[in-house]
Amino acid sequence: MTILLLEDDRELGRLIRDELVARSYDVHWSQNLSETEQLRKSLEFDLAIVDLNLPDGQGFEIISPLHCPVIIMSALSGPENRLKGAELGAIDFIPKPFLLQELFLKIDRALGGGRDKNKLWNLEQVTLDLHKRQIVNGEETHLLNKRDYRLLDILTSQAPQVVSRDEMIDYVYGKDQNPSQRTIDNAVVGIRQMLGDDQHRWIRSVRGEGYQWILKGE
Amino acid sequence: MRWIFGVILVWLVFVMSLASWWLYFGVNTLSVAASSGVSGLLARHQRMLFLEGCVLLASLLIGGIGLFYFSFRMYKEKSAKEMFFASFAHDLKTALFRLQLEVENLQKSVEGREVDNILNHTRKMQLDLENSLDLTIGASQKLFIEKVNLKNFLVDLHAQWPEFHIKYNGADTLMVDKKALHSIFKNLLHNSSIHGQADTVQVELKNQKDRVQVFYSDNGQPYGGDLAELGRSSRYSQRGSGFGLFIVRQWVTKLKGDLQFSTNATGALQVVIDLPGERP
Repeated sequence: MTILLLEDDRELGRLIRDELVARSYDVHWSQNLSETEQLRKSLEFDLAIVDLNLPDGQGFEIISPLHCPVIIMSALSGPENRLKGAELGAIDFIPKPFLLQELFLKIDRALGGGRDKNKLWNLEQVTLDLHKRQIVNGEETHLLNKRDYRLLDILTSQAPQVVSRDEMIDYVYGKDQNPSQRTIDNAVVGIRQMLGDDQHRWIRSVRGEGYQWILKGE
Repeated sequence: MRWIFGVILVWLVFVMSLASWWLYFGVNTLSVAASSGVSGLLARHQRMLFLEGCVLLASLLIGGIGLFYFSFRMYKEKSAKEMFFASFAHDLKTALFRLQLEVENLQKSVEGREVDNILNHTRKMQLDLENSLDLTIGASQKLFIEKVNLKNFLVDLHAQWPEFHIKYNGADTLMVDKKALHSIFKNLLHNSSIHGQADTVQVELKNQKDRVQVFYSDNGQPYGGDLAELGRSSRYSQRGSGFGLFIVRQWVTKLKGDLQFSTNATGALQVVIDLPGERP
């Protein structure tokens, strides 16, 4: 997937580009409109992330000529800019400052779903989507807190190996904290409730060892 | 703001015309009466009326010009303030963004509560900055009503508040200003986190005929203050400055909605936001 990043701030541009590259996107970073114009003539993009305040004009000017989905990112998030962006065809507006996770979620939505299928499980009527950090159980959606997300992350990534409680504590809380193992047991009970896993079909307890995630991602 | 100058101009033309006509009419009437030889008293009254009328006209003129001048000065000052806030907010937000990205980068190599704390402090600074700007710009803020998918909105918002377990059910979409919705939810989550010490919130969206209701509740500590006063003043609060909920109420009012606070069975705060439904 090829992404155009239009950001004039060197530090921000570098940080965002590096993160996108780390996620295996082919990123072309430009810092002004004329550079973007050159890139547009020679390349086709699947998505563009466009800043508004640029040294040689407004990011709005490039939205229509790009002919690809555009996400605007700007600290100038007033209604006039959001309206103008929508009128020009931008699919989303992300006000600065934002967390990278927010940007990745928007990118995945724009490109049609999460890239990492290994983080998605359909468990009968329940869907576990670790990319969105959510469990959808019928009508109810659970956005997982950091602890539950990290617990599921280590269990699913190690599957089908058994993960000990100590490993889970280290992964979830870090090595500088020492919550009791009971904390992990309580968290697993909560996760099973969200998954509707009262029969322990997906998270199995292994006596004296820890827990085991049974399924592989789709 | 420019319409004020039009109103002042109309007012000035109107009162000047009226006063001029009144002066002309009065002086002329007395002049006719005096020339008909009724009395010397009328001639004195004519001079008095003429002098006082001139003073009144001059005062009106000076007042009108003064009004013009001060309105113009206010207009210039407001424009300068808006420019200052826009540039200040832009620079500060960009600086905060750089800091936040650096911390996120750092988080990959350094584990621990300290890094999380820096991110939380950055988040608090952003919220305070946005609230202050919202309070400063206040009622003059315009809205951009658009279709918002609340489920996607909460997934994105949750990235900023990963310590929360957010349970969500109900309808998906509502027509609302996204920035206002952001501010409302950020302040509610901040309130649940800091003042309620909650770690789970429940959000439900119900679509009715021409209204939409958003139900928000948390599993936080019991609230014992006066619910009717909550969010009414930026100074009133049992647990904090009350600033966040004041901003929430301000946004809901601007969206032509209604805000109600109550407590659940455990005494934790519950919020119902009633908003207009589908809009053109």
